[in-house]
Amino acid sequence: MTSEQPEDIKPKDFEDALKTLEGIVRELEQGDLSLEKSLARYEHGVRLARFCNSKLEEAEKRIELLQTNEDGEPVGRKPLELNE
Amino acid sequence: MSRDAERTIYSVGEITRHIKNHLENTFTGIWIAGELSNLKRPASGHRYFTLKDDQAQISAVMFQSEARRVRFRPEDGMAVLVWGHITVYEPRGNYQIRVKRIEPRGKGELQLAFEQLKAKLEKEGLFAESLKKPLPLLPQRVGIVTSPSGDAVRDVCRILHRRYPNLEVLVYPAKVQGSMAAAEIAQGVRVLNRLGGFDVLIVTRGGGSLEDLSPFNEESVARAIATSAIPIVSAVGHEADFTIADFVADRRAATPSAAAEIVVERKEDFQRHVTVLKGRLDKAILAGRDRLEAKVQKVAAHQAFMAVRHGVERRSQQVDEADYRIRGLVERRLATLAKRLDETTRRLEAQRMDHKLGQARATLQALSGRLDAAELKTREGAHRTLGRLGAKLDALSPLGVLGRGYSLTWTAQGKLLRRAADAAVGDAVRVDLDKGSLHCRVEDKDDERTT
Repeated sequence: MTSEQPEDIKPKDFEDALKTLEGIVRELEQGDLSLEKSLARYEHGVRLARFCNSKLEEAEKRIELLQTNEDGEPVGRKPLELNE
Repeated sequence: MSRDAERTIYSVGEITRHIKNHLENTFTGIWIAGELSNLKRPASGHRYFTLKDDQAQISAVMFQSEARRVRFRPEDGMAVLVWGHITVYEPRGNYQIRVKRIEPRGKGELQLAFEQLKAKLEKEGLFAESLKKPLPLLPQRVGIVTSPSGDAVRDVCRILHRRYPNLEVLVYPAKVQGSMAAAEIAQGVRVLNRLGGFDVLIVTRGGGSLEDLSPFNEESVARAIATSAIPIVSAVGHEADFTIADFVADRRAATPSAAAEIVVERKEDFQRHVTVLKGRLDKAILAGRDRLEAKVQKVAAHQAFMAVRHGVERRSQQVDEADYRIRGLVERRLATLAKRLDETTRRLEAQRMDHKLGQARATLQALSGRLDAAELKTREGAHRTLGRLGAKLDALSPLGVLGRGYSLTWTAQGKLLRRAADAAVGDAVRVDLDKGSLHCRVEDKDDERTT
């Protein structure tokens, strides 16, 4: 929350983005920011919310089993079948 | 052995050999209970100690090949049970017990080994809260060290995917019981760290006996967990089972299923949280509009309407002054009237003309009624004027600024433009109107105009 150019701030990860978003919401709710800052914060907040939602969809479902040699070193992967 | 008349005479060596043969044949494979004392651990790896009770003591030795298989750490004062053979050391004429096995008495060996390793690692600070790494809020890649055929892996994966359908999971296959288990579990933690990209690791196995869970009480596993750069959740056995791995791990879960629940929150909860925050964000910017528009006043303060404003303020002041003057006037007239009344009364009294007094009273009443009416009228007039001026002030308030055709002009960098000097010819600017925005380019400009 140091820069006036929120475009420059890329959230590190989901957690970082969520924390920043929470901070922005609190700041806006207190309501003692200038117009310029309020609008900048708001736009930043909207971008963070979008980032969070995209992160939630980012990972790809996959369950794999690491294949190892006799020394326990990885030699390959294969899908892990879980008989439910 | 020699004969001297009736006497049988042994040499020292001979008798010692006899004693040795006798003792070593008689006391072989025996159990002795006693208290450990005077324990020595030289670099050779052999262990020398004394076993004693309240009546006697016996020297004992345990050679390195056997000593290294002992799982707990023998200490002076410990009540132990040893198994071995009596041996005689001829050069010194000593006998001792050569110990092949040693067990703590009272507690089981595993229990004692557990307590000792726990105390040792605790002393080293491996369980310190300050070493615990926080778990990520939203893990996207999870590594699991466990048996690929056990119940634990099935429980963990089922819950992970129920809570968070798009999640990457990689299982490192490790035996979770038996003599190879500890080495494989430790190796798994190291390999997953080396592969990298994991947000969190789960080290787990299902329930079992204390013996079954014992790999998770091995120092090698504890060290591997302690040096992991990735946060680790351990979940070994059931709720009541605590292992060394649990103490070293960043989080302990009561069961494998609980580990999965600790590792990832429900995706829906995350989505709801983000939606709620976005809602609050919108609400804050809308609810703060009044305050924001008050800020607009500052930002957009312009001499054109500053002048009007000053005029209004001046007139408002004039009204106040008029009000004061009217009040002063009324008060002075009342005072004059009261003085005249006094004079009249005195005169009337002097002349004892009661009927004239009555007349004067009537006049006075009429006069005072007119005065009251006059005062009321003046005040009402003043209030009306004030009201009108107030309405005018409201109309000039920044709340209505945009609605009345004023606009805000922003640079492409999102800065509010106050001076023409801050924009260059050719710059793209955004002009926010009461409804909508214009995207413009500066064609020409005049830095000097101030109104």
